[in-house]
Amino acid sequence: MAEFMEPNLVSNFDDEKSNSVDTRSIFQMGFPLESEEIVREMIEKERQHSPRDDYLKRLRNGDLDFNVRIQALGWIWKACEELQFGPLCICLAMNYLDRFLSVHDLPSGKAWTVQLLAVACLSLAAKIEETNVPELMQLQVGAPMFVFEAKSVQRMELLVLNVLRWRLRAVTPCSYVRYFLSKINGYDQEPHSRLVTRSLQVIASTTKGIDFLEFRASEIAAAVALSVSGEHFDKFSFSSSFSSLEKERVKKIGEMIERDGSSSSSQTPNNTVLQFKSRRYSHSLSTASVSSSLTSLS
Amino acid sequence: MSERKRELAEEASSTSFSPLKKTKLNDSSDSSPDSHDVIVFAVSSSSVASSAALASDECSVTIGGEESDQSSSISSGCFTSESKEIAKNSSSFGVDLEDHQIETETETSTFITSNFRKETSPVSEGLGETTTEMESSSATKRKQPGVRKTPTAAEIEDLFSELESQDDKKKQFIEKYNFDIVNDEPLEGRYKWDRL
Repeated sequence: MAEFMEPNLVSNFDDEKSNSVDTRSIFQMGFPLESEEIVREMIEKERQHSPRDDYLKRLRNGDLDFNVRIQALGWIWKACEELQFGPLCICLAMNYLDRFLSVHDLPSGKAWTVQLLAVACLSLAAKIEETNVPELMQLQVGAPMFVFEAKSVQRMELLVLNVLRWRLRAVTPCSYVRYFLSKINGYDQEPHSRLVTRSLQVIASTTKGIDFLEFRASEIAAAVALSVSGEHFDKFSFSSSFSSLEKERVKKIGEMIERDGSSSSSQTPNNTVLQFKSRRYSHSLSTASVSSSLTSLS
Repeated sequence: MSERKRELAEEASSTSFSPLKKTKLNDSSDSSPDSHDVIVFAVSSSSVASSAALASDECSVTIGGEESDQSSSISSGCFTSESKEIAKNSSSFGVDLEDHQIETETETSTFITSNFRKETSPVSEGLGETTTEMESSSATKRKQPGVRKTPTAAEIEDLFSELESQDDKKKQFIEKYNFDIVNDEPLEGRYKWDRL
């Protein structure tokens, strides 16, 4: 399973970097699209690679400190920009962070613990996803308020690994996007690399809000693929490729994406506060590429 | 090529100069260094040496700094030629005194020039080393990160202890209620869990 998945992830990574014709022809010959069987297997396993079920509820009702995630998210995005890490790396780092926070409380009143956790998650994600990974001291870019010795980061990495049960090759929305794009557009070949790149950027931007945590990775991937392809959710007939997905949930994700943000339509008492916070840091954190991508969608 | 030929000729000249030294050494009962000084001064002044002349020469040397430098240079040159002679074990006689004196003067100036040339290169090497040191120091400065906070080792230790103890508590809960709270799944055990 892992052995088969790895080439696909690598090809996704390469898509993101290069749009040349030679690259596309190489992909067509060398990397087959995910098979139906593989996709079904990923859907079955994706729940093991998600935060605990009550994570979103606890974030919304105040059980968990909402600002912890915001602080870690802010640094991870800034570091990825500076280190030229791609959206795949961002998705993985945020996946590790959310899974850890859903089962472990950080001691309150110590902001440096959040930073140490963020550095550990990004380091692990970079080692999984990126080809050039700087040393732990050089990884701590973006003028963070706290800087840690390499041994401290390594110890936190080990703790994160144990909490995540060493399941680092996580199924994220990025894992499905090429498959769904090929199905939607009726291609027997590799979907256009520009569509893949834009999809990955949109998926990365969904990590900025907590409301997408309500949905499964496959649902987010399907919704993003439909949005990027310009398909209308009402008109599109959900073929066998989407039989395992609930149409209403996928449609809801598409509406959230089209609203150009992570605004929540939930009925929680903290709705106003959450929306305000989401919008504020969403604007301050958005990159040029993500902004242009979202603009082109609307 | 021409310079090499000149150097070879100079070496030959210095070699031919050596037997004259030996002769005087044998004649006089003074120590070796003194004999060398006598020979050198006699040659440079181009006059036959006498005890009074030697005394006056020594006084002038001690007074003048430049002269003492030249003297030391000349001495080192003489020692060098003497060493060569010892190594080669060659000797020749029958050299005309006047011609030999002229050649000796040439050798003296050559020695001084070569010494100056040798002194020049160490200076340039020193400059190079200085430049290298400056570069390394600037590199060190660049590598040093800005001043940022770092928690103490004790604080970090406390964090890991707390997080690891949370892990232990969760394990106890899982074992007691046979329910995996991480993956939200029931496990085999005493309790039976129904999903609502």
